[in-house]
Amino acid sequence: MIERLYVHNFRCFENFTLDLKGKPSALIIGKNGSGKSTLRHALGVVQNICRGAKVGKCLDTEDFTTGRQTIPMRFECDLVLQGKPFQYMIAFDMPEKFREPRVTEERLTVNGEPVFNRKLSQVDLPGSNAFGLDWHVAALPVVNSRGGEQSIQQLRAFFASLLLLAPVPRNMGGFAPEDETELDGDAGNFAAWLANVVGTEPARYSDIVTFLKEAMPDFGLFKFVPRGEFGKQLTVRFDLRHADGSRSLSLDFAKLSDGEKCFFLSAAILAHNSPESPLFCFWDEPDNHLSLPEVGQFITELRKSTSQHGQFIATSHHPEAIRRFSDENTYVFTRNSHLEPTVVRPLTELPYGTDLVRALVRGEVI
Amino acid sequence: MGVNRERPHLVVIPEDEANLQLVNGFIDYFAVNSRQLGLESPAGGWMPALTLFETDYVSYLRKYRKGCLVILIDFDGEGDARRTTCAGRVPDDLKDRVFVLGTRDEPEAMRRESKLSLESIGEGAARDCAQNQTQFWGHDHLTHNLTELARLLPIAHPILFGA
Repeated sequence: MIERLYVHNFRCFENFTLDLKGKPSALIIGKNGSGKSTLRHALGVVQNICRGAKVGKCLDTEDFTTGRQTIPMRFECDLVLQGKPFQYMIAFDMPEKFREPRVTEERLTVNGEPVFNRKLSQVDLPGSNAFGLDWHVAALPVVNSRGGEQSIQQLRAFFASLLLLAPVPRNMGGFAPEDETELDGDAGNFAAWLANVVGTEPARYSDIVTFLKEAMPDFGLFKFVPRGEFGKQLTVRFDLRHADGSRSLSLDFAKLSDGEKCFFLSAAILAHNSPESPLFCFWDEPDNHLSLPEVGQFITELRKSTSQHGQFIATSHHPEAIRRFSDENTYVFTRNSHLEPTVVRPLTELPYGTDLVRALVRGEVI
Repeated sequence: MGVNRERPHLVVIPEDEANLQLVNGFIDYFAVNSRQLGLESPAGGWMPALTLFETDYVSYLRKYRKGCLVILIDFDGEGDARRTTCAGRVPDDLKDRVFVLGTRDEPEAMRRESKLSLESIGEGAARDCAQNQTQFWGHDHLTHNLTELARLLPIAHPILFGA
């Protein structure tokens, strides 16, 4: 679980701190342009860096707040994984004449003990060991734990598996050229990811089906049908029961409605969350594409899934989604202008009268 | 994904935002099956909650006979008098499916006294229901609900926690 995220000099985040300690689920509200989606991008930077991407692939000049490239851009993340506290920090700058940003500092501590500490290209390890590293790549993906200790692998696996979603259902075609372990932000590779989920842990198939039967009472099953030389197409079967018998209808996943595709996505995510590998899911406006009676239930399912393990962060403008969170787990992002930074406040610090949604409609709070 | 109205289900009308947050905590308790639990928007007071019941839910409950309803209000220290007022607004044919629960004064008072968040209070209430105990419901701010709770749980327990 992420307990604290600090970001500085990244887009509209200056000296930005989000305190998520003790929050298995949280909601972020704010006007358009207040920085809600920037949080997803910030987490995406840490994720891509951790997956081994070169810094230049994750950041560019415009990511520095108002182009201040010589001031360090800094990301700090405090988290707890399987009871162990981790603190990871990485900072970048982009001196004049550089084509892409570089790492200026990077540090990891586990249980308060330093695992590595980096300044520019030099990475110091405990016991006076050190090595040099290209300053356009992070140390986290390349440093290995010693003596069979798994902390770094745990952290890498956590960051790599973050689900940072702003799904675009029309991109979710259902064709899987090959199985994929990482779900894209727009969920465009959903079928490939789902194939991997049910392929590696077949027991999850029944969890997904159970959820989908609740969401769509005539849902029957889903399967992958070979298509092309190597690929496969996700197809969905609906079972229609009538007094005079029953019949079935099979559809390509692409033919489902946007909302139904989101049911599938949600079902797979819920099945993916387990005590052994708790998920972190940031979902930008999960209420998009859903009909009114479905929004509240959808949010509740995602919240409940992480009440025991994992973490779910949502942004929303939707009254039904907003009402499924409470003051204690709602954060308000505000920003006075495009030249000023995002300010984050817990809703508990903001009086709003007797009804939050009505206050939001009046333009108060945000 | 919404509540299936042809199956046994429970709808809650919270009188205000604080009561809504109690319900959020209740639902969030891991053992609660939220799929057959519908949640109304805050009504804006205990009288508007009763009005919403009369205008929308009397006909709803007559149409969907497997539905039951909880009106979650503040008793504002008025105890039995308020309960009598509420009961008087429930038609006889719906009395066995409509229930009135709430904090003795208001949820914020219980929050201040117990030093628990509203969601934590709701979660504690759900835990009690799941485990058939009244540790939480026996709190000074909730204990006046025990008779109503005893009437509600035989219907609501299978919906919320399975048979």
